[in-house]
Amino acid sequence: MATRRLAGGLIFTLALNMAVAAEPPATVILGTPPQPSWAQLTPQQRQTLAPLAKDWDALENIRRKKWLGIAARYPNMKLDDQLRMQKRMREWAALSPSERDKVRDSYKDFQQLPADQKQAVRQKWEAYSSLPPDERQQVRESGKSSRLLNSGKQSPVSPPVSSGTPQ
Amino acid sequence: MNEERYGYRVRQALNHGLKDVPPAAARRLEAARHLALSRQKQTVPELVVAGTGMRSGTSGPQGTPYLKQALAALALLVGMWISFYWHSAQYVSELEEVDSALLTDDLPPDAFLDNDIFKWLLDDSLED
Repeated sequence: MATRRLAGGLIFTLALNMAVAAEPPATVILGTPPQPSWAQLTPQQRQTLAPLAKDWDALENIRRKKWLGIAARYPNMKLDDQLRMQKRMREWAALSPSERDKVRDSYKDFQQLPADQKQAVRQKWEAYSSLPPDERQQVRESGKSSRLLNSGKQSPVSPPVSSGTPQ
Repeated sequence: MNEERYGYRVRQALNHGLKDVPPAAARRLEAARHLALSRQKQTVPELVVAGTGMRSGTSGPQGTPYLKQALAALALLVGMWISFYWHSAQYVSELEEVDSALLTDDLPPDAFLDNDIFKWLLDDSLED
C-alpha cells in the first residue's frame, strides 16, 4: 500500500517535471508565490522596470520574480550596464519563450569560452553589425568571420587583442 | 451484548443477596457508595465521551485515524509545496543570473538569436 502510494507520488512528480523545454517545469510554476502587480511595486522598482510597465501585469509570476531580482541588482550595476539594460529590456521581454531559451543557451556556451576568444567574437560582431544588411549576407557567404577583423575598409575595428587572431 | 447480560446477572445476584447483608456492612457499603459517587463527578466527562463513542462507533476509535490521515495529507502537501518553492527559487535565481549578464554584456542578445550567425562567429574564432 505504502509502496504503491510512493510510486504514485514519484510518477506524479516526474510527470510534473516533464514540461515542454521552453516552458518552466510545473513544479516551478506551482512553487512560485504570487508576485506584486505594477501598482504594488515601489517607486524605485517602477523606475528601473519602466520599459516593462505596459506588459508587467500580463507577465507570469516567474518572470515578474526574475525581473524584481534584476531590479534589486540594478543599483549596483555600472552606469553603462544600466543604460544597456534599459535599452534591451523591452526587446528581450518581447521575444518568445523559445527564442529567449535559445539565446540563453548560446550565451552560456559563449561564457564558457576563454577570454581572448570572447573578445574576438565581440569584435567580429561589432564589425558585422555595423555593416549594411546586404553586405552582411555577402560577408557571411564569402568565408570565415575572421575577415571581419582584417578588412579595415569595411568597418573600423579596434586591433585584435589575442595572439591567436590572424593579423 | 454479552457484557450487558453479564451485568444484568450480577445485578440480579446482588439484589438477591441484599437481604443477607449485615447492617454494619450495609453502612460501609453506603459510605463507599457516597465516596464513589463523589469521585465519579470528576470523571463524568470522560465516561460520557467514551460511552457515546462506544455506542455510535464514530468519534472514538475511528475518529482519531481520520484526523491522523488528514494531518498526514496536510504534512505531505506542505512538504511538496516547500520543495516546489525551493525548486522555483533555484530556477528563478538562475534565470536572473543569466538574464542580467546577458542584458548588460557587450554582445547584444541579437548576436545569439540567430544560431547560424553565432556559430559562424564562433567556429571561425575556434579555427584560427
